[in-house]
Amino acid sequence: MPGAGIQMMTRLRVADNSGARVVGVIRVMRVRRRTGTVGDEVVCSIKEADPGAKKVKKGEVHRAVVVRGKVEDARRDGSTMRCSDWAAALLGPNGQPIGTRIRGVVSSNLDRSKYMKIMSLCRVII
Amino acid sequence: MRLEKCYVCSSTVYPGHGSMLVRNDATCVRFCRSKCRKNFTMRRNPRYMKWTKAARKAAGKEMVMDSTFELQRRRNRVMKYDRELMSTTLSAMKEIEKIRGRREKSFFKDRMKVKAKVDKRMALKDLAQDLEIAQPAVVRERKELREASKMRVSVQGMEQ
Repeated sequence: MPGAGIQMMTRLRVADNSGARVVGVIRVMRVRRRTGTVGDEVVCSIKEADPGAKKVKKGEVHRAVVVRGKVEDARRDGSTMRCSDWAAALLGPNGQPIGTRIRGVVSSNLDRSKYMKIMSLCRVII
Repeated sequence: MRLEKCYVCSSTVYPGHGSMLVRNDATCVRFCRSKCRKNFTMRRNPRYMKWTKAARKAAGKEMVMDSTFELQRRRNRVMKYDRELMSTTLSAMKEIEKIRGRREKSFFKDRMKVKAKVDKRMALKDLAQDLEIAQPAVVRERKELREASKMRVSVQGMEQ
């Protein structure tokens, strides 16, 4: 079983097509728990990016929301669900996603009022 | 609401039970309990674990081919709700379940036919080879006592 959630120094895969590949977490926002999990917003720096990426560059600092995780997540009916990797989607200063597509699945535990755009961009919500 | 099947043991996963692993291509692997999930994460093949449905089927211990299985199938077609159809389906489900139960029983009986013969043959073999073990403990004890007393008598006779 993977351990707890994410914290400073955690690397996350980027699920969107913003051009970033891997981000390193600097801070998990507004969380009283020790670690963050799926649905939490993080501040992160881009550690790896596509060579021709225009929207973002390596070394930049952005906000991102964690869209799926390896840790087991309780669903409303009491069963649990987990994904095969930790991934996040980058957010712009206005809180809207930077990318225009989301790869892979997105957890249904995301806050719908905040991240409706991401939910509508992804192929599958699980 | 759907009753899914466990990936490992093929038992029914009821709502609110078990866990699910989602791959990035959105394929879901469902588990009925932590035992099944752990065995999956240990990369064990359900066919090689004796307690799973897959293994039992592979070993010929369960009914595999039957027309009742054809009726119980996952359908991804969306149906328009029809009250009459719903009620007939529900009654048909009960009927099919009965038929399946009956067939499974007869399958089990057929499978067990050989068992009585095998058991008898084994018992006869045991009797022929190890009659001592087959005797009840009381008989054995008495026999031992008798032998011991004989020994005592013979020893006494020698002394005199």
